[in-house]
Formats: sequence, C-alpha cells, structure tokens
Amino acid sequence: MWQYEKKLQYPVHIHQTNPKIAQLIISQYGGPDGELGASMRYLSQRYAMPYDELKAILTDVATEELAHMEMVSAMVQQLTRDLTYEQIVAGGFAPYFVDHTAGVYPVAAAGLPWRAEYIGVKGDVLADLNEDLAAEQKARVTYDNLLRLIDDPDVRDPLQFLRQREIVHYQRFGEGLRLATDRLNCKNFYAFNPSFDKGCK
Amino acid sequence: MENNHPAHKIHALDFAILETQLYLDTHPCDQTALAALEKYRCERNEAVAAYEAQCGQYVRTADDVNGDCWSWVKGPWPWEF
Repeated sequence: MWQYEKKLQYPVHIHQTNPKIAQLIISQYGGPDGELGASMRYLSQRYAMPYDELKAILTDVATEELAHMEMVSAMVQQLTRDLTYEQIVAGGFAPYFVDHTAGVYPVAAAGLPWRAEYIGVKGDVLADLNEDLAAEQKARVTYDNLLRLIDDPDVRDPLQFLRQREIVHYQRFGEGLRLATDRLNCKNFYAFNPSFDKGCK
Repeated sequence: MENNHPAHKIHALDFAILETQLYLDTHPCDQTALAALEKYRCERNEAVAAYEAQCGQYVRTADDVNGDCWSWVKGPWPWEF
C-alpha cells in the first residue's frame, strides 16, 4: 500500500503562465518516456524478479516516479493557470483546450494519449532490467530536450532536478543488473537466464 | 514555500533519506550508508522538533483534525502556492 504526503518531492513555483511550454512538459507525464509509464513499468515488473534487492529497487523507484508524476502535473497546472483567450490561441493550446480545458490529462507532446505499449513487462529479469536502463536514459534525453527548448528559470529548476533523478535511477538499475548477472552460472557468458526459466525446462 | 521556512529542512532531509534508501536497496550491508541513514534520521527528528516549536504539529496523523473539523481537506495542496 501507499501513504500520501501532502508535499511535492521538490518545489514547483512557476509564476509565468505559458501554455506553449505546458504542452511540451506534459510529455513527461503521459508521453512515451514519461513518469506515468515509468511508475507503471517498474511496479508491474516487480512480480517476476527473483531477488529481494531487485524487488526493493523497483518498488522504491516506482514510488519516486509517482512523486515525479505529481511534480510534472504541478508544472503543467501552474503553466496553464488563469489562461486568457489570447494565450490559448497564441500558445497553440486550443486543440488541447477543446478536449481537456485546463485539466491535466496524460498525453505526449504531440497529443497522443498515454498507452500501455510504452512500457515493457517481459517477466524475465535480464530483459526487464535492460528495458529499465534504456527507459531511464530515454527519460533523461527527454529532459535534456526540454531544457534545450525552455528558458524560464522557474521551469528549468525542477526539470534539472528530475533529469538528475533519471541518472541516479540508471545507476541503481545498473547495480541491480550486476547483482543478477553475478548470480548466473559462471559459464553463462551470454547472460541469458536458463536457471530462472523453471517452467520451460 | 520559501527556502527559510522550517519545513524546508525537513524536506531536504527527507530527500537525503530517500536517496540513501535507494542506495541501500542495491548495497544492503554497506556500513557507511547505514551510518549516513541513521545520521539523517536523527537530524530529521531534530528538524521536526524545531518545526514544531515554531509552527505546531508536523505529523499528519496528529494534524488532520482541527477542533470539530477534518482539516486534512484544507489546502493549500502541494501544486498550489
């Protein structure tokens, strides 16, 4: 179970309304490498993990991703506060506004709603941890791209925090993969996992 | 919330604790990390005491009823400032 704390993991205080930026940032909520997908991916992968360390790291990183989802949502909400008609039109926000008003709905920057196809759950420790390592790098690149496009320091500050967290998570998943490969048979040069595949012998 | 608000120190220590916990997930017997976790937890207790001396109860369970009202529903919520 989870317990809610009435705070953001890192503060988000955006003063300037800017629906154009909101539409870019929302990708880290509902886009292909966003925080919603990250959390669902790690929570779902836990059940096939053979080692306690891996169950722990997936649980704790998935939980932190929920906190990141809340930060990204807060950024979108603050960037679309008190919208005027002129800002909706000039910011290219009208298509989103028609469907969602100023609600926060999980979509990618290009408008595609969140899909479960963004995540992989293979039920195999090596396949899943390699997916997670790639996912953290893809999320880091997405934050890099947002930072290339956005000048507002109120927005850049939490984005930089979130970018750093992807790097830390990548490090922890790398250690998790190392823990798993170290426990393979020493003659298993190619790091596949027949010893875990009990149902297929 | 401003940087000098007493809750700021608690939030910073919460982050240090979280970061150490993630590290311990993959290094569960690392004595240096275990000692750091203990230190951060002590500092957090002190920060909560300092907060409570200035602002009243910090812990949610003790703070969610105020008089004859369920004050948990009262804002500001985390995305509001």
